[in-house]
Amino acid sequence: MSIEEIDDQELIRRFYQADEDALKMIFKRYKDSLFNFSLRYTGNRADAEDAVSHTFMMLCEKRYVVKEGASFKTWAYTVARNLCLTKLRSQRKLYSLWFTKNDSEEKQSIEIADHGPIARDLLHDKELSQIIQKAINKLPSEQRQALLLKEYHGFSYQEIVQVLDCSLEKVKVLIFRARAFLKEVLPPLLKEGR
Amino acid sequence: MNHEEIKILISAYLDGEVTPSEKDIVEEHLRSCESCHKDFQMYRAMSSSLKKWTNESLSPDEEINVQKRFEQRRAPMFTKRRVAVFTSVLVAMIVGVMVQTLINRQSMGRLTSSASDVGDQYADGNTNEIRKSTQYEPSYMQSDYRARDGEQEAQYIDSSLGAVTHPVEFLAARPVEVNARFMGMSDAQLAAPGFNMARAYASSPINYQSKVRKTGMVGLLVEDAGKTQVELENVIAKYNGIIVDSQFNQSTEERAVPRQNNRMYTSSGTVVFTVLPENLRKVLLEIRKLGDVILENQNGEDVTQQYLESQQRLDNDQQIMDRFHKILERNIHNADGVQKIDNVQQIESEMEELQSVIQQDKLSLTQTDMATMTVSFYEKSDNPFKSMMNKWPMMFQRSYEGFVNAIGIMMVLFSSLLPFIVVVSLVLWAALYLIKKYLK
Repeated sequence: MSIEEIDDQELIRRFYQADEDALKMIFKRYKDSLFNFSLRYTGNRADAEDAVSHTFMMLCEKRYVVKEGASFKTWAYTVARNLCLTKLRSQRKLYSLWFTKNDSEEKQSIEIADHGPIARDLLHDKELSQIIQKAINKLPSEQRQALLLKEYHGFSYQEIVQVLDCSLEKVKVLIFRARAFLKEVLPPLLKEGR
Repeated sequence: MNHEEIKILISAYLDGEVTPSEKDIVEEHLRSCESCHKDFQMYRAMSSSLKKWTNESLSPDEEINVQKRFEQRRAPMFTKRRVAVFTSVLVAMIVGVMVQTLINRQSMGRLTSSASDVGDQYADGNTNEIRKSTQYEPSYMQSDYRARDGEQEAQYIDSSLGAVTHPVEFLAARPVEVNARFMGMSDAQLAAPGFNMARAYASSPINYQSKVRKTGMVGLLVEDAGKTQVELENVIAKYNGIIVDSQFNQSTEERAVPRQNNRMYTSSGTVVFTVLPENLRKVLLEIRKLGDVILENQNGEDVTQQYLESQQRLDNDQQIMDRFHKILERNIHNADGVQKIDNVQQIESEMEELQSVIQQDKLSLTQTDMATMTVSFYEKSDNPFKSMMNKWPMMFQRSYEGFVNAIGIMMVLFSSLLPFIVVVSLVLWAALYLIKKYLK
C-alpha cells in the first residue's frame, strides 16, 4: 500500500511515531482545502495562510488525539474555523473603533474583506467570482460557514455539526436560510454582472 | 409539518440528508407545490453557479512560509519544558544524594557518640547504668554458672536464695587464700603440683556457695499510686525487708512514662528497700502482681570475700569473747579481794565492748548480701483524650524541630550548590540560545 492510500488516522499515528513522510502527506492532502475554506470565510489570504499554519502547528504539538470516531478532517476544519473567527473578531473590534454604530453587520463583513489583499484579485474568473463572493459575504457568519463546508468541501451535515459544534437541526436550518438568502440576492447580481 | 419545515427539508433533500420517510414527504410536496418545486430547481442551479468560485492554492512561497511556521513548533529535542524537567530531575537527584550523605554522616556521628558515651560510662565504672537499660531476663539474672566435674562447661542453676556457685574461671581470678578458705583447703594444698581447680571445686564436700549482693529496679504502671505504696510497704514488711526510702508525688499533670512515650502517668512514687536474698524472689513475685511491669532489672555483685572476712572477724570476736568468759570465770573463782573486783569490772567492760562489736559484725555479715531494690510506680492516666492533647505539644515541637532542621540542611545544601546551579543554568541557557539560533 502506497502512502497515498493510507487513511488520515494511520498517517497521523505514523507521524506521531516520527514519520516525516506521513506529515508531508497529510499536509499535501489538506493544505489547499483548509486554505480555500479559510480564504472564503475570511476573504483574506494572509489570514487563510495563518489558519493553515496554525492548524498544522496544533498537529505538530500533538493536540489531535488519534481515536475512533474523531475524524482528522473535522478536527482540522474546526481549528482553522476557530482561528478565522478569532481573526474576524479582532478585525471587527478594530473596525468598530473607526466606524459608527449605524453601520450594518453585512456592510462590516464586506468592508472587512476589503482591508487586506483580497482573494478576488487573484481569481482567474474574476468577475463571476467577485459576484459570488460578494453574495456569500453578505451571509451571516454561521450560515456562511455551513454553506462553505457543504458546497465547497463536500462535508456531510453530520461533519458540519462537529465543526460548528451545534445540532443537526440547526445545520439544516442554517443551510436552508443561506440558500434562501442567496436565491434572493444572487440572480440580480448575476444579471448585473452580465 | 408546516410549509416552512418542508422548505427546510427540501434544502436537505437536495443534499441527500433526509430520512426515507422525509424523502417521501418532500417528493410528494414537490409534486403538489409549484413554488417549492421552483425553489428546488433554483437551489440546484445555484449550487452549480457557486462552483464558479474557483478553488485557490497556496503559492509556492506561501506554502514554504506555512511549512516553516508549523515546523518551528515541531517538538525540538531541547524544548523549554524538557530542559526544565531534565534540570529539576538532575537537581533533585543531586539534592537527594547530598541529603542522603548528610543523613548518613549524621547518624554515624550519633552512633559514634553513643558508643563513646558507653565507653565513658565503663571508664567511670558506672556500668550499672548501662546494665539497667537492658530488660529483665529472669533466667540469666537470677542464675549463675557452675562448672561440672572439672569440665569447662557451665550450667545454669537456679539460685533464688541469692547464693550462687561460680565457674572455674571466676575462681581462678580470686586470690588463692580466699579460694582456700572458701573450699576448706590450705594454701599448700592449692599450690601443690597437679592441682586442678575445677576438679577440686567440683569434688569439694563443702557447700561453697558464694555470696552475691543484688541490686535492681522495678518499674510498675498501676491504677492507684497511693494504694500501691501502701501495698508495697506491706509486702516488704511481710518478708522482713527494710524500707530505706519511700516517696509519693501526688500530681494531676500528665507526663510520659519513662521509655514508654505513648503512655502517660499522673501521680508516681518510689520505694527503696533491702531484703534478705532468700526472700528476694518471693517479694518480687508479689510486687509484680501490683501492676503492669514496664521495667525490671537486677545486677549482682560478688561479695564472697567481704562475707568471709566478716565471718572471720565474727569468729575471731566470738573466740575472744569465749576467752573473756573463761578469764572471767577464772577470776571469779581464783582471785582475791580488791584485785578480783577490778579484774572483773575490767573484763566485763571489755566484754560489753566486744559484744557490741559482735553485734555489728553479725549485722554487717547479714547485710553483706542483702538485696537492695528500687520500685518506681506510675499511676496510669485514664483519660485518652487528655493524654492525646498532652502529646500534641510534643508532636508539634518534634515536627517543628524537624522542619527547622530540614530548612537548615536545605540552606546549607543550597549555599553549597549555588555555584554549581548557576554554572549549569548558564550552560543550559547558552545551549538553548545556540540551538534556537541555529534552528532559525
